[in-house]
Amino acid sequence: MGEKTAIEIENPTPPVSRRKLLRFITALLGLFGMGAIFSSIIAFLTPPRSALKKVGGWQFVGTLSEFKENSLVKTYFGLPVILIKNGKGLFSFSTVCPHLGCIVIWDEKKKKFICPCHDAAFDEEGKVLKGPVKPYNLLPMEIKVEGERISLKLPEDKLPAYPSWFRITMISGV
Amino acid sequence: MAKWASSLSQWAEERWNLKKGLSPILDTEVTEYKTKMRFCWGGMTFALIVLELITGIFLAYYYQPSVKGAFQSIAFITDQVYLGWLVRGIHHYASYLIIVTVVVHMMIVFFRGAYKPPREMTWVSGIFLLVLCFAFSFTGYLLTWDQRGYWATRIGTGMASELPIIGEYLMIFLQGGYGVKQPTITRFFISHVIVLPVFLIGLLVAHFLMIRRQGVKKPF
Amino acid sequence: MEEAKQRKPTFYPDQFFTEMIIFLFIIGVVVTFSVILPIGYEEEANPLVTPSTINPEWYFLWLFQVMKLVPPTIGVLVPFVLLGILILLPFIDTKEIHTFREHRWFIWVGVLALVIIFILSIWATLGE
Repeated sequence: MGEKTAIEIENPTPPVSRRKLLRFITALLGLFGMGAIFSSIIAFLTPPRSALKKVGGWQFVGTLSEFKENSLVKTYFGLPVILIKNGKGLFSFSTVCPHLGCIVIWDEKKKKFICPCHDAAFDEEGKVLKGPVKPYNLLPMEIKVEGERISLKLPEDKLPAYPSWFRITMISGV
Repeated sequence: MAKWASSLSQWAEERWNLKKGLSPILDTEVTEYKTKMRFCWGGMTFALIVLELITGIFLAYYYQPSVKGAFQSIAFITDQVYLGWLVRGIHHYASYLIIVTVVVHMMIVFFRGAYKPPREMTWVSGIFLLVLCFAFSFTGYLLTWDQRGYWATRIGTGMASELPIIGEYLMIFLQGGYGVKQPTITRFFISHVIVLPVFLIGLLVAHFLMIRRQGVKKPF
Repeated sequence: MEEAKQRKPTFYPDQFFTEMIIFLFIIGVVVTFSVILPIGYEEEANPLVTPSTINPEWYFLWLFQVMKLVPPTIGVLVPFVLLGILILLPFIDTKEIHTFREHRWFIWVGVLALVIIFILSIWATLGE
């Protein structure tokens, strides 16, 4: 012990660097603590995964007798869908625009579905014609007719090709 | 000065010693440019922010942050509450004017090169204040729960999800869940009336302290 | 008189009263707007129908137009890139200047940016 003190007196560096080390450790702990608090706040404010109430599966939406013209607007778990009956048969797709989620409207004059938000256009089968949504068509729904009753189902296998907000909108409904 | 006024001020002085306490704030010399009207854009923005705070507090007395109640309460404030239409109008137009004054303020600073050292942090705090202004505008827009606000929020949060990596997380974070629903109103309301104002006041204080420390840049 | 001229302006009363005049002016302006163009309220939110004309607030019109022209991911990054440039600006441009002439390139870039934003906004207003 005595010898050590002698060395320290001769060479005053060790105590200083020890103080530095302590200060460094304190700062590190402080930073760690701040980080823990900050990340906890962010984690608290993040909605838990269980807030997602998944919808999907077959849902009855209407009957064939409701068709006055060749299209019918309905909702599938609160999301707007359109049913179309023409020469090719009966089919259905979602009218949520895959660009940023506005609801497309049928333009009788242009014979197109037009998105009021960013000018995307789709043909009567939901295929994209122009606009910032080039790769995405309107999402086709699976359709089943039992007698008069029409049921729809979300095609979950087609969803992965769409942007993430679209997938989430579709599986959470409105 | 009237005798009663001076004796009142003396009475106050004996109790709180305000003159001395406030002296560092009140008696600070400011450069002469600061009192000139053409350097008023920052001051105007501040005046507008104060107006927003006051009218915002008034509106919060009647506003209901819920899917069922929001729109009704807005209609109630506008049609039934005495001067409600005026308070809403002031809150609305002041928010427009803030964008105008902030942009003019920034342009003047930019064109005069007043962002250069040693005032760079004043500029940076100003940019963050601009971001806060947009955050206020974005959160306030949904609160009326009308068609415009609802769709703007759906598009806005959808846009956030297009960001690389953090996009999807950011959208869920902003919406407070999945889709623009009740949790979104709750979240936007709390941000609009508590969280953002706290950040705003903090940043404003920092902004002002730096302006006081550095002064206004001399005209060319 | 001589003393008043010598006195340097202080926060109170000089700057304070300038502020107060500005404040009164501002109140006048917003009250005038609210009375002449009362804001009222629109239709209640309806998740099933997007209104046929849905324009954002005028200060976001330029971004709205950008979103029409480019893929969403790039469109969203635009405001963040602009903010990044603005934040870094004082650390990049640190040269001391004494005349507008020395600053002219920055002024031109600033004016150009404003003109582009203005054109995009007008374009978005006119639609197609």
